[in-house]
Amino acid sequence: MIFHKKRVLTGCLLLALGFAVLLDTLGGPKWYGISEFWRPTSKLATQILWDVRIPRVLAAMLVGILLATGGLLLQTISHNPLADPSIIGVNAGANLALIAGELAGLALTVLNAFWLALIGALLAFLVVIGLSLNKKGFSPLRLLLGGTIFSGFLSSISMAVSFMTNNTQQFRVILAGGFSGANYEQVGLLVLVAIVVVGSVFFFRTEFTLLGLDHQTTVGLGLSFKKLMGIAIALIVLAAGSSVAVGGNIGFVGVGVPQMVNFVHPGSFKANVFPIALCGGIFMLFADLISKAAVSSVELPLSALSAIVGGIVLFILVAFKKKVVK
Amino acid sequence: MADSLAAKDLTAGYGHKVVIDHQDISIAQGQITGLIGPNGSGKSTLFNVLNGFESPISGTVTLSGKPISRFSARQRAQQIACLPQRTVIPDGITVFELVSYGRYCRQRGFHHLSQTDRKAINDAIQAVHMTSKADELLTSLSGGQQQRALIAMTLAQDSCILMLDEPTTYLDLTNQLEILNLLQELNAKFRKTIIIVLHDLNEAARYCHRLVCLVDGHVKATGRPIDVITKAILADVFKVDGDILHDHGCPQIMNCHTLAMPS
Repeated sequence: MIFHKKRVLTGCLLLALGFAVLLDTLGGPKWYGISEFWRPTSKLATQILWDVRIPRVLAAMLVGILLATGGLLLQTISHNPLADPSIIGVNAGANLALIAGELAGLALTVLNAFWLALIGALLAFLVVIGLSLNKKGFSPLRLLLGGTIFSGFLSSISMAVSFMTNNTQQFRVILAGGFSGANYEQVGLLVLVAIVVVGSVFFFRTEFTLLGLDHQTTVGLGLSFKKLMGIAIALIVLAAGSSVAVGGNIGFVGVGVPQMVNFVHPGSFKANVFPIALCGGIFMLFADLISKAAVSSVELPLSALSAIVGGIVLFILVAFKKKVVK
Repeated sequence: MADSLAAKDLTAGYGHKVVIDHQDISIAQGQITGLIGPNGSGKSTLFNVLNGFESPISGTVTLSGKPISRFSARQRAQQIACLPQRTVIPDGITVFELVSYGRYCRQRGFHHLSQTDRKAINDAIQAVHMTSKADELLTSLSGGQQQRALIAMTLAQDSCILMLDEPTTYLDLTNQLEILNLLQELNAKFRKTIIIVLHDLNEAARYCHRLVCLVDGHVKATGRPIDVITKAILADVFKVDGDILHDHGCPQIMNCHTLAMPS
């Protein structure tokens, strides 16, 4: 019975994802009809759909999936439902690495952007983990507090450097977030990362579910805690770093989407990880559609858009579900 | 009686702070052993070293004659099931799902629940008398019921040793007695070796076959409750005076009052 319900839920979410993909492909400053795919009205329309819209839509969907999965992983290992790589400075580290790389004269090709963002994300995460260690080991509260301060610190440096070097326009995508320049090369790399992240999450789903209990209990159940934490950290860095390399600074997906899904469908990591990943994709596709279609001729910054939606969701959850903050 | 778990010349602590200092301890098989002592005496440190969660500074802990450090986390979990003092209860999971976590150390590959796993889970839920609550969310249960579900999770591990760190803290009297009666029942029915950290000396005396009394990282006394709960130990270790009555051979402390602390 439970198995059946799970299949229905996954099926519905996959349908919704397909619908969101279609809508985001057809929608934009100019809306196209679905018949454009088999009866193109002009060469330009075909070019826009296949070379601009489709890579953009796929990039948005994959980044949404990665951000939501990364967020859930961090919430699981930190036992804090409000933790998110974008809140604790992992995304800000990737951002700063991209800006620093470009200023150092490195051409931000797709591949360069990927490895720079991954290194930035990893270094920032290691600093935050260092900050969260106390005498008795890892403290989730210190992770969130230290991470929030560190994230603000890194973002301020990124902002200051951009202003001081008069490069704010150049760094617009990195700072404001968005998928306007997405291409198939980026999509290819994101597909690889998504296969690694989602595949690992599937393979270790029982172990990550057990990590939801406290450290001592999980070890007592036979889990290799350090190995699992290492894997979780690597996956979070991969998910957050590659998302920033393509979509720039997009916050709140990692915390808002898992919270929304858990609110509607309370469940363990194992039960909710795939619904959360799919909802991350759906959320990002709609956010992308609004950012490009809401105001004609102006692209709204995705970071602001997702932060507004995420902020409202969090406000509602904290106000109405007291258990969110333990 | 054979020893299932033993520590030889054990020194343990945190960082440079030595909490347990060169002690020999042995836990008898098939019995309930209570670790007692005042706050800061080293009970929890000893508990964590005996179950392999922390490594000793020096000395060895052996499980069935083999150093515990040679066991992998999974192998250790097949031998010792352990419930720490405070366990995080995750949101959104049922009693059955929590108890199924106990099967992790017995599973391979993709961790699908086999028929044996399902039987072990249902048996564990039945052993803690929670069959009617198996499909209920943990967060909707009382503290005592949550503790029983956690004990069921450790039972599902199917290990011969069960270790519990203050399992009755935060529970009201009825739930405290229910949990202790349950442990006594598990020991009698399945011959499980149970090691339990307890604060209440009367409960420890009533429910344990043997007691290990710690003070300042040293074993002050060990043996049957009647040999450990004495006026001398009460004064020396707990700095209290009281009358000790013997209820069917079980010592019970009455009219307890603190002794003046030396300035």
